[in-house]
Amino acid sequence: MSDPVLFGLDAMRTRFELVLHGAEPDLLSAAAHEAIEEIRAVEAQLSIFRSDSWLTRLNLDAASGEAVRVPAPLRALLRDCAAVHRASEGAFDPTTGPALDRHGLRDQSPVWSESRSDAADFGAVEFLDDGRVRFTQPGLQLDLGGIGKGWALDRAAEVLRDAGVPAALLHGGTSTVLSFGEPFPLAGRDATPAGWQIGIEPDACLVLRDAALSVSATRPHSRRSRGHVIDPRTCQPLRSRATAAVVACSATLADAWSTALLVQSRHPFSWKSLL
Amino acid sequence: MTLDRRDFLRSGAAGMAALAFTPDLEALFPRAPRGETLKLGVIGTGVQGCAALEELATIEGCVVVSIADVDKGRRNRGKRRAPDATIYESGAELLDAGGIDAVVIAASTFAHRELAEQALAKKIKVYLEAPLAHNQADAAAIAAACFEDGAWLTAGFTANSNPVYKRARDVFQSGALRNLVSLRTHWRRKLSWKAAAPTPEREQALSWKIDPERSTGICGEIASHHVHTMRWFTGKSPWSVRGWGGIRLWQNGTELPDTVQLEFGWDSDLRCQQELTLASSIGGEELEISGTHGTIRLAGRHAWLFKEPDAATQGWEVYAHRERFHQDEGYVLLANATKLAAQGKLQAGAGLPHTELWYALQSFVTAAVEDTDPPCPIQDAMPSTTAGIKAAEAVVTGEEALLGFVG
Repeated sequence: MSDPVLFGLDAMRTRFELVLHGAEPDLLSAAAHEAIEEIRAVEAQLSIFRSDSWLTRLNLDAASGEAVRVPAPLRALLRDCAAVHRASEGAFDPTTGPALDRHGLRDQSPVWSESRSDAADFGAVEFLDDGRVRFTQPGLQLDLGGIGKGWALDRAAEVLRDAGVPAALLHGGTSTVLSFGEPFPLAGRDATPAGWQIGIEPDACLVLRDAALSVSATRPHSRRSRGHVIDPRTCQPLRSRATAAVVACSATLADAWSTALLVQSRHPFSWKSLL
Repeated sequence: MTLDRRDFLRSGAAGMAALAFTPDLEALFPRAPRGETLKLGVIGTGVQGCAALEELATIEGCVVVSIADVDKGRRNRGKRRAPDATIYESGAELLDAGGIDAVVIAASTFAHRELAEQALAKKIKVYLEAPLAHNQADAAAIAAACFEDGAWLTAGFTANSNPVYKRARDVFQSGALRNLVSLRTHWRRKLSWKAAAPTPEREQALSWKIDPERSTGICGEIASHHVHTMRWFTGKSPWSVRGWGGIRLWQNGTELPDTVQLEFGWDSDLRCQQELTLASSIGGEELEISGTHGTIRLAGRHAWLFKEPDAATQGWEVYAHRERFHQDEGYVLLANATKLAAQGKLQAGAGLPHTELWYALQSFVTAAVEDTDPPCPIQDAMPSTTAGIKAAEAVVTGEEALLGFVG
């Protein structure tokens, strides 16, 4: 059995790493490069810091009330956002970017930098029958940072599976992790592990296999982590110390739900909304 | 940052000035084509084909009604990007089925000839990814098909449609660089062209770029694009090429080099040097045209002019913002020349609002709908394709290849 192939890249303002297991190092290496290209593509598509990204174009064009043509993958992602937004009763809402700016919690301004209202409401994103998307609320600004890493991992995993990679663990910034396949035995050990062992907190870990994990946390005394989640209902940063970990079938959903749970930690969902 | 004319001159005297070219508003945001919606087929849904599908989804005036790929995995990727399109297992099937006004051929380069000939014979308008072909015979056959009655083809060399390159070319043609000193390009991307696939058959089919029978490698796939851009700027074509290459990283059974240096004879004693590699990614892609009074640097969505201290002021650069490039500092053209910046909504120097591919496809759609000339006609595309093919030969033989017929 060959050694695992390890790859890493800086993208989406964090570090992505891929661990690939398989019998053919050439195949693993080629597949890893394709997966890295896919992650770079997602960054280019979702970045709010690039003038030519899908999201910048949507934010610019839809702000004027225009119904905008968007690529099918972005439309599908926005529909996922809408589903979680509805089911979480608004706790997940990717329109809180302006509030982050107002609280000085983003260290770079998006390309679309006009000051706008804080009001967050993803419900104002309308999906038209002809595939176009329209903002019904002026000044809306989408920032998919809360779900983008998960989406990038899902797409990278799709590339790896399609290439025939039997097992892999991928993470974005260590907070979103995706695994598929059965990890190979570690050197010097005979037993095949049941899955990939992931540490969440010093005293908490879980075994992940064919699933994704996302962990969101707030640390009120750390400026850096304090502000990365805004409560969409108040447009204020979350101030209590909390950690939310979600295991889901896709990294996209795990990402969205870990944010939603963090926001909603004091006011549990009416679980009927999730069904 | 605001600067006055004196600041500009001081900066110029101190070193070099970089002026970011801001194209015309209409070039950045082209109008929708005037005419009926163009029904499109897309053949080949690999990396390039999928990128085309994503861009076409945002371009007004067209709809993708069918897609095709010989590989099942790639068909699935295409389907996710064009969920309403009819799927075919080959380009020939898609073309036979009809129902399209135009086709984007993004299949493997070695398959271009057959597909292009079939589409042109059916009077379907063609966007053919560049280079045109992997050998001279196929390129010539495609060219011949283009001269048949009613044939319409545009090649996927994107420089012709890139608004920021157009603006830079205007500046070049105004004589801002004075006498040419050098032409240099580099393209660096760490990427295996051996495709990853679950079966040997599929791997063999998808790894065409490392098969010398089916590809000219990075000389054909990349160098031809750089040659094209330089030709488009200078109005001249190379007359010879020498090349050196080797495998620096990817020992995957191919004889094609993953790293090459090329030297094209351009104009009497002027050379165009190219360095292309799949073994290193730092530095990305840049093209540089240097003259006695300045240097134009091109980088996809961006272009800059670095002025020598003794270069004349043209006027427009006075209104430029300053931008820093490592040790050099210069001026960025006032971003309020663009619609976005005029509204205070775009950071200076943010680059084009769309990708180069978007502009190439948008130009194609508009020209096809309005039945105007192709943005990059066969006459423009042939010499660049030939240069790539000859460069690959020069690397293999180690001898200078003459391209006298190109110009």
